[in-house]
Amino acid sequence: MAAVTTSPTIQPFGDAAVVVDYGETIDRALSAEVIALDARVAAARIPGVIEAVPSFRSLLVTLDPLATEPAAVIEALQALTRAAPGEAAGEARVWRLPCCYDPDLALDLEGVAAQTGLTPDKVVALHADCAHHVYMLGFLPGTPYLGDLPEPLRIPRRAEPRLRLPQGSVATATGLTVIYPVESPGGWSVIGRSPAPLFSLDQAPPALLAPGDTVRFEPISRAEYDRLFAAAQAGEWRPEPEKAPANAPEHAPERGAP
Amino acid sequence: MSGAAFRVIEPGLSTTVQDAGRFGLQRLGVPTAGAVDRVSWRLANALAGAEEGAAALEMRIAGPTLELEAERARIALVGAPATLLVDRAATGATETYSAGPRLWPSVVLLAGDRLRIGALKGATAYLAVDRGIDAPLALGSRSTSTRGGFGGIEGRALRAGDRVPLGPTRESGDDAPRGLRHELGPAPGAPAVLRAAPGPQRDRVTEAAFARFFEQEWRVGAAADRMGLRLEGAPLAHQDGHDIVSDATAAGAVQVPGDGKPILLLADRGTTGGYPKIACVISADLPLAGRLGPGAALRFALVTAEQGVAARRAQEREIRAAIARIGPLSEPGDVDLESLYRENLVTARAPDSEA
Repeated sequence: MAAVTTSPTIQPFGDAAVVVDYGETIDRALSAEVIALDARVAAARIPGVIEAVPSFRSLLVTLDPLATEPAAVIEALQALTRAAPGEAAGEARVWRLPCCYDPDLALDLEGVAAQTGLTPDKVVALHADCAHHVYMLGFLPGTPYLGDLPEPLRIPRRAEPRLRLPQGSVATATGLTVIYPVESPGGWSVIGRSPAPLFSLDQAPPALLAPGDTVRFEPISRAEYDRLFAAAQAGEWRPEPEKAPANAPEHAPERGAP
Repeated sequence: MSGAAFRVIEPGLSTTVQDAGRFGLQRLGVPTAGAVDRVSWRLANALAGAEEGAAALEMRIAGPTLELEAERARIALVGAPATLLVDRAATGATETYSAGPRLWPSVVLLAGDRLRIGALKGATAYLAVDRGIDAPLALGSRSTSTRGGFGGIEGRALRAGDRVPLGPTRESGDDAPRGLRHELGPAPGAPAVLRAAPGPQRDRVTEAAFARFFEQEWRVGAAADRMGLRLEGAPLAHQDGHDIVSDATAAGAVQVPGDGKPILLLADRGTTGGYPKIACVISADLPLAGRLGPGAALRFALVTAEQGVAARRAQEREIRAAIARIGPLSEPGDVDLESLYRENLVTARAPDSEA
């Protein structure tokens, strides 16, 4: 795996948080470093630290100012960032998530095809052929941000967001893919819908996906979508991760480089 | 389950069950939720005789009317000035209690008593009860996540007809009204001051704009809620664009979207965001931010993270001191003239007369 060449900045974010920031890039190697640092922070149990939140390009570490202060946490984090770079987080999983790309559910597939000059079938093939990396969860509980689509499929956000995208909508913008776990407003282009339940209060952890996981979308028919969606709603089906070794090999960087 | 409950007669504008919030799950996109004004929430719990960390009702703008379906419960109100009316089931009489800005009341309710709160002179206040609000735990917390649609009472604000479950009886001494004395801003007539440290993307607004953020007076816009305060004022100019690669949002972060109008992020904020965060309000001043409603005037004062830590620790000492001083509602030399005047027990304000 390519070593991360940028050293992160480590700064207070108010008096109750610190942020380890790698800069303005969406990049697999950088993301792997954030996720690896997150694992080291969890293992280190720094006194006074409450939680860590990974994002594309940074790790936010929250703390209790009554128990510690940013300077002490920064010192601890500096030691952790100097540790061996790029160790794979042992917990990463590989998922195959069913996704229906039928025009009825893929509201913007025709539009995306026109925008990119590809046929709808080619859009689907490129999307389903991709090994998507889970960069982070955010926006709404359980919402994954996945990347990276190949260059021909990179489109900007829609000029006007929609007020209500159906639950499970698989949408793309800027080379990334997001899946909306519940009905939600959204400004990305919808090219499919997945019946997979992404967030359930009665599961531990409640989110299906985690930063560092890999997702492949498996095209399914409309009939299969309806069957799986009903089963998921009834609590009778949820995806299981594929068996993968703890140190899963890095996926082809040329897919991911922005 | 004790079977005890508040029956909601009138829900208030937006009343939700809140406790400290849920932590450790922001990495999964789960907002922390929890009381936007942790100071008032803690003081209300202490004044009511509740367990530390008990869930309470967070009231926004106007509070509810509740009827007690239990033998006895001690309640307390802390956060925004308000008038509590207690309609006694046994006698048909109505008692009036004044809350804030310095003296906060706690009274004991008996079966069938109704508590009417009505308009708050401020955005946020807490109704705590000695028994605690016994909403089910969701992901380790009783706080309501309106964004996620779970927690508290069905993930939403109270509605008329709801039963809000209460915990078991608490041994909390006699039934006399109690008081907690602690000045809670914002003080009327001057902008509230929120101390803030520079944020990770402070360089995404111009130097002049960053300076102006701390100099000019801002006003809380109409869309203020538990997610954040949208601020009205002369917009801030960006440099190098107004989008960033999304990162995580700390509580109190001030983000500046494309229109240049800052948003101060609170308890229900989304866990990540793509706008530059130019500052972060210190944790000691977040409770005050939580009390600012639409139209409130405020200014930001530039401080360091270290100063923020010191302020938080000093505030903790003040909170403990206020809790230690909880005593009878009416103390000699501590006359609630407002109440006396209203009840026609005095015809003019005389600072040292008692009747």
